[in-house]
Amino acid sequence: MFRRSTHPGEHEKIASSALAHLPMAKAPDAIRTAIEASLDAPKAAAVRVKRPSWRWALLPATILLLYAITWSWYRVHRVRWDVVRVSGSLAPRSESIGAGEWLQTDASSRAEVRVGTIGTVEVEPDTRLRVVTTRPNEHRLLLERGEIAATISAPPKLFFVETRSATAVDLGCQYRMNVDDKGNGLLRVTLGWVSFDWQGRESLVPAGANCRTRAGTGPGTPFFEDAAKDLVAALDDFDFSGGGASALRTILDSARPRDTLTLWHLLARVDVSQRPLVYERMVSFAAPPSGVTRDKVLTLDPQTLKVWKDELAWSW
Amino acid sequence: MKRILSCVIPLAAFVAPVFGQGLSLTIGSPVAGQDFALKTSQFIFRVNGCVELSKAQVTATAIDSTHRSVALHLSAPQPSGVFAVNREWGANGKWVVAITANCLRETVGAIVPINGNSFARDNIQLLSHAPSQDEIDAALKTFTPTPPLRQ
Repeated sequence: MFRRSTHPGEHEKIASSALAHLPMAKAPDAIRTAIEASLDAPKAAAVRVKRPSWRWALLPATILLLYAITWSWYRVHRVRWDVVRVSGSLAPRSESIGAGEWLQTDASSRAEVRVGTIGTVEVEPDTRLRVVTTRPNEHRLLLERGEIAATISAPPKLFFVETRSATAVDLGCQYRMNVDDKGNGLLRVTLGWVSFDWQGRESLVPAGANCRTRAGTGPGTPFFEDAAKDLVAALDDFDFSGGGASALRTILDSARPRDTLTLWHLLARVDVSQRPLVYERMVSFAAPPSGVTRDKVLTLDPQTLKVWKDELAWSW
Repeated sequence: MKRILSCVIPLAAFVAPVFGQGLSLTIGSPVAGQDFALKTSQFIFRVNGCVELSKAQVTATAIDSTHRSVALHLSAPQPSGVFAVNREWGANGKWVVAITANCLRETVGAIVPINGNSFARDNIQLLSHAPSQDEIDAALKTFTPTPPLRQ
């Protein structure tokens, strides 16, 4: 359009001369309005947003994060346990079971479940159970009916077996447990301790001891397997048939030093008026340790009861 | 008077641990240890009345009726002076475990008959001295293991 010039300022002169010859014309109102609007707008809006140069990495990073979360969840919640099934004379068959799945044996079959890395559960014939949780910090089964034998080598409170009437909480142990369709059953501990609880009612069952459980009532009072038959029968009466004072009298009369396991539990289960009878029977076997006073025991002071239990356990 | 005191004071220092708390042993099932790691022990025992447990000398030996003996490795004492005895002897035969605990100038002992995977509580002998060979032989002679409880 313009001829290239070598003289400085020549362009300005040409432009100025051209402008002087242009006719004056009125600008449209729209232009004025637009200019005013742009002047009134906040200055920030006029500042161009600087987008970070790494914004393109956001999408793959988000995808990666979602994948990691999903994978972790799957790993934690979808861990499967190995199962070996033995049916009659057939060769053992291996499979696996995960959370939410059922395992059932018939009259001629049994199974062994490997509970993560913490132990095994033998599943006896005619048993139905469900795996509830397979998390590393919570291994949980639901025993609907039948019998299992658990052998756990782990710190306490990592393995749980629920039934309709009680939950067995492993405190480092080996035990056998059976329940019927209603939830009535028996726990037999062969190593360590098991806490058998239901709705705040707890029975602590050590090796060599048994504990019954009944639908609607929960766990009964634990007793040693070699306890007198009279004691065991009276305890059944006391726990589940409202045997009351008469059953308690039989229990106290037939108790041996080792049966302080049963008496210790009864302290919190008898009427307040009967509690001194239980206490007197217990101290007739051995004086309570230092700090364990009659008053504190009769008011069921938790720390006092624990100290006494820990000392009594030397005779269990 | 000075002569009397010079005799009485050292004597009192010696007698105090004997007649004060008194050194003794308590034998119990592994459940008494309140520690899941002890659950597979044959039994546990506690040394009572030793004011300086770190200086106590505690030994245990398994002996059978044919005079075979196995010196046992006792697990490190717990803070409360609890020791665990694990099965380090053979599965066959009739066995007892002889325990000797020495603390300062006191010595006590125990003979614990072994019954299957546990011990015969009613046949335990607690002694005010280290178990002698005659006492061990007598214990082996009189003790009859009972069948284990069904598993």
